[in-house]
Amino acid sequence: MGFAKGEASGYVHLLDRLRQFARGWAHPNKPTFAGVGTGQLTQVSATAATVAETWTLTCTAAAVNGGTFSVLGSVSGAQANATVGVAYANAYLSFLLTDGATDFQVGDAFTAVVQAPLAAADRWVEDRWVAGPPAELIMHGPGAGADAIYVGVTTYFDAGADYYNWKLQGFTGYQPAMAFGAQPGAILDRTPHVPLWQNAIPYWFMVSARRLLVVAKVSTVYEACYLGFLQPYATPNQYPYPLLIGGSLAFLGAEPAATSTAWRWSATPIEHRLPFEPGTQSNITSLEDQMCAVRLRNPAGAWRGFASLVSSAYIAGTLTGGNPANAPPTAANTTLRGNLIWPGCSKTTGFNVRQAMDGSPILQPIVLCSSDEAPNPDGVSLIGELEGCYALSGAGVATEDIVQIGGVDHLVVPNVFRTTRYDFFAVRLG
Amino acid sequence: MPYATGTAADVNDLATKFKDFLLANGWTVNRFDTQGSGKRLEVTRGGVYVSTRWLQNESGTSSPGPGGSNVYGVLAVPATGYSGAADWNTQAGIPLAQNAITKLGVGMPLEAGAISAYHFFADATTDRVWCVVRKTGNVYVYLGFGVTFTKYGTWTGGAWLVGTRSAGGMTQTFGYGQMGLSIETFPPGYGGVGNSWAGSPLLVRIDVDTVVGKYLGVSQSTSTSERTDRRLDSSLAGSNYGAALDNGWSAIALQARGRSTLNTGIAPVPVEISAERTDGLYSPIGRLPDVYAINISDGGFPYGSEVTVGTDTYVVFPTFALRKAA
Repeated sequence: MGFAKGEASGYVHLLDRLRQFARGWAHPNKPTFAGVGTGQLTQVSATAATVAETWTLTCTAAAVNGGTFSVLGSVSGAQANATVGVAYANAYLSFLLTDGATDFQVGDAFTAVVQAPLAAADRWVEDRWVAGPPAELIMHGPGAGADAIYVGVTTYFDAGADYYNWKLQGFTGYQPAMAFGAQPGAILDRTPHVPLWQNAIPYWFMVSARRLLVVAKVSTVYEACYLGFLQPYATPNQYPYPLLIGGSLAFLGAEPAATSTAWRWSATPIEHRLPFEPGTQSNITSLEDQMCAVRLRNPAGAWRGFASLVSSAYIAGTLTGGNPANAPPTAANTTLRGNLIWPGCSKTTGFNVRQAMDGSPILQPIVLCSSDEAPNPDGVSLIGELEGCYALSGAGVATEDIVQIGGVDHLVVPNVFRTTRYDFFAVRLG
Repeated sequence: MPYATGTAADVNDLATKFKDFLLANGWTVNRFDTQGSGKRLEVTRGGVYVSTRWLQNESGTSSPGPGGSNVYGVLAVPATGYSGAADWNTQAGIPLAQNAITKLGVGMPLEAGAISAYHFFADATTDRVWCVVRKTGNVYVYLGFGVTFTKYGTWTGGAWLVGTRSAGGMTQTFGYGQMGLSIETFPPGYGGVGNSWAGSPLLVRIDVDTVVGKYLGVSQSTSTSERTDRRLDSSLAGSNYGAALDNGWSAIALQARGRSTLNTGIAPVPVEISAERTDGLYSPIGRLPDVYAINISDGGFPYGSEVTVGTDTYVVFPTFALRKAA
């Protein structure tokens, strides 16, 4: 498993960075700057030839609304100079230096550390890349080696409503001649979304052979997506293709109009939640698969929706009546039904959990549970866990804290815009 | 011999067989003799002392106990030592409720007549022992104790004692149980339905903030004669209550779905215990050793049968499973 932390220059660039990292290119981290100019080093991208090294861009000639920078790689050596306002590319790196209110001065310098690429066994294969916008990315992961785990992302935007988002997909194969949404095994109804924007996006990529996991910071909120296999409580023979596509936005009921600001990262409906605790309204009578931001391809090949409900009433309905074969989704229980994600489905507004006695955080796996409820009975079962994703109490932790469990770093993230102690998760870094 | 199963002629015969099992698995028997028409068994290991009273058609004993007559079952208390001059319920260090008067213990209710199945489990490495008994029909009851808890992080203490019921509530009958089955509550919930019985079915020796050197118990009661100085909570507690209980990561939904339709297996769910802190929040302290919540209520496995999951072997009962020591 590999981990990268960086900053993208918008929603399409974020996807490009994910593509580069997942396919195994060395990865430039967020640049640092020393100097007086207020311009930016943006659109930093790697190539297949990029190696782990440190790039230093130094202003050698100042100019009004411009300037010239030398480009020096600690391994690759001196490259052609870069000019402010002009897209730059050499064999190893591309970027755009933008002008700011204060011009660069001679000696101003950016430094970008390029980290080593993913281990070969974790690298994904790029099947389609359309730079866009709208961008399209289809990749497949190696899984255990003999697997081919197909996932995809396409971008869309509406300038008027000021949203710039990802739309997620999962497939069972790839056909070059076929459109994105018509690929084999695609989700044919509504798919999960990730609200983003066209400005700077700090990000964390966690890539294994089985899944792509992205956490992205948009302004002050945190978005995430999970693309790939979950860890099923079953053997590969029993459940050969446990593909999960999870985003942070789907809508209960009809989707808003394309011009609606409800698609924006700043919208705060109950459905705007991380895929670790995807929500919808409580006290509904059914969950429609397509209204969920987490979709799982079940063993029969159907895309099921999963949600966590925040309802204090369901526990009463779970075990005090009803059919033991179907508990909790029985007729006696009208508040917690369908396919669930634990522990989000069990938390209530009185959630009183804090860290362990010695102050260490307790991480809980995120477990998918299926039901026998009509019209989509899949059998009562604990299906499996999201790889490297956990719930934890927000007591004693803060956003972007790094907590160590077993010597492994985990990033603490809030549930989009929610920051009470009920609303925190951790993702394993590396 | 980490596991034994068989039948017993009655409560006293069960006590004898359990005593022999404990001896064979490294526990020291300080006392085993007849008391009333039942048995008294007191054992120790690793600095932990457990005193038990096996009731065979007797009146309920004094504190801790259920009262009433014609009682069958086992009462158990932890202690800090053993004295031959003391009775089973007057040994040193028996836990007290918050009122510092009421003794606390746990109970395992039984019935008259032969016992059709018992299952004893021991783990020599971790000093734990469990006794599971088929009480009647598909009702299984249990008593467990040990020196070491499966801890999260570090804390002082670790000895534990658990029964199907609190000692005071041992003879009460549930109108309903988990998942619609008329069975005993498991894993440890509260003293009983309606919150009318004293004590706790689970006691853990743990230092919590300023409360040190004591056993703390799972209890929903606010009565100082029923709760401990700080309360514990179970991730599976609350199954008989309408209100949501939020003092742990509730795993009731997991237990309800704790089987796999993919491979017709079980999906064992750990039982987490949390402790009340000074700020009113609860710290998860660890997992109840060796026992897991499951859902095999609609078949697939005969109760008492063995199921292998990965490298672990479990003996399964209606709503719980005991993992056999490797």
